[in-house]
Amino acid sequence: MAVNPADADADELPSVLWGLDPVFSAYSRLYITDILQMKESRQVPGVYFYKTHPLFQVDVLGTVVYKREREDFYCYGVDDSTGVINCLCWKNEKWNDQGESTECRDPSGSSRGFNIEDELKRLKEAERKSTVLEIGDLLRVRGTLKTSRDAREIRATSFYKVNDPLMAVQISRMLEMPQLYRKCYDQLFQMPRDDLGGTEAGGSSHFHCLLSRSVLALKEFLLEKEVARFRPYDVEFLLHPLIQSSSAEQVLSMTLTSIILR
Amino acid sequence: MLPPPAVFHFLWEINTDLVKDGASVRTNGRLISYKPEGSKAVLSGQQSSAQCHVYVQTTLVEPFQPILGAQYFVLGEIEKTDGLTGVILHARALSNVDGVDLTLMQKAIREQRCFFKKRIPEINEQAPHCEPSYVKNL
Repeated sequence: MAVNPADADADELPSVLWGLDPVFSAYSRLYITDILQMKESRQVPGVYFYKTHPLFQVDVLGTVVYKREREDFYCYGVDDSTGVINCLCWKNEKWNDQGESTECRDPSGSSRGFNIEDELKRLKEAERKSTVLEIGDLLRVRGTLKTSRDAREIRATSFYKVNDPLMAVQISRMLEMPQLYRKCYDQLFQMPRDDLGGTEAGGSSHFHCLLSRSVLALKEFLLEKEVARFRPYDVEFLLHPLIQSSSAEQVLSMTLTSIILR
Repeated sequence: MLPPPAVFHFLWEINTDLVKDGASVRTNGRLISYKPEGSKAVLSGQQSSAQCHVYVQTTLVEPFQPILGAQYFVLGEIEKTDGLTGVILHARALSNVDGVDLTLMQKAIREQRCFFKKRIPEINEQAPHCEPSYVKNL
């Protein structure tokens, strides 16, 4: 494995390769005890390592054991039986104006047809109700992991109360987690192998070389054209000269070309 | 500030030494009696052919609709007393889970414990048994 001598954090995966790990882009379902014990990356603060996987987004399901409400957010303490973590759940302003909801509702319930305003109000109310929880309720949170004042917490991007009268959701989560760990999180992150032509030792260094050349090509293009924002497929053409070697990559380049020409 | 995590224990394990005084646990059982004046409830569980009972202090979770004979899920702290009642569980959360698949839940808990035990065998206190799910112990 080619190791960059200038990289002092040799035991951590270099940050340029993090995007190759699917776990990095996913909301990882880890036990809260693991979430609390994970080490923060030395390369980029805000990203954490579970074994060899970099991640910053998590998905937890647990019982609310602590609740704090402020004007803008709820802070729920979630317990999944392995640990307890604080989840910061922002309130949505559109839930606030519920004052007129009861008056507009048609009390007789006559068949006036589908009244879109009423339905929207009911939807807003349902959304709001799914975010107000009491101690003992089951909460599902998906969000980014942050460390603030020495405590790990989850800044929720989405959260909702889970109705689980038969404990089916909790049971299936308990059955699923060890499988996820065995198949995914506890597996070592493998660098993607180069094509069949490359040797074992030469494969990864060829890949590194390819990667640095493509990064350089992209950067030069963006500086030259003074591009502030771009879409990935608009700049894929820059990478075409670099990937010519094997049949697999020719197929890939053909696919990319057809997407761009469409 | 945050309470400690509540580990899942079966009802018959609570009376034993597996669970220490003051530990936070979650468990489930059938409600067989409830006294609102003293906020005391009794949950019962069955392991093989033996019945066991645990007293639950429900002060923090009242009012709740008690349905005798229904399965309840409870989360709280254990207090081991020397009195007649033995072990009391001070409930922080209580919910009716009647209809829960008990066999599947026990299987899930056992598999999870097996997994924890394999991860950190030397410091794991949470897994009293580690039986693979295909071994029936009835």
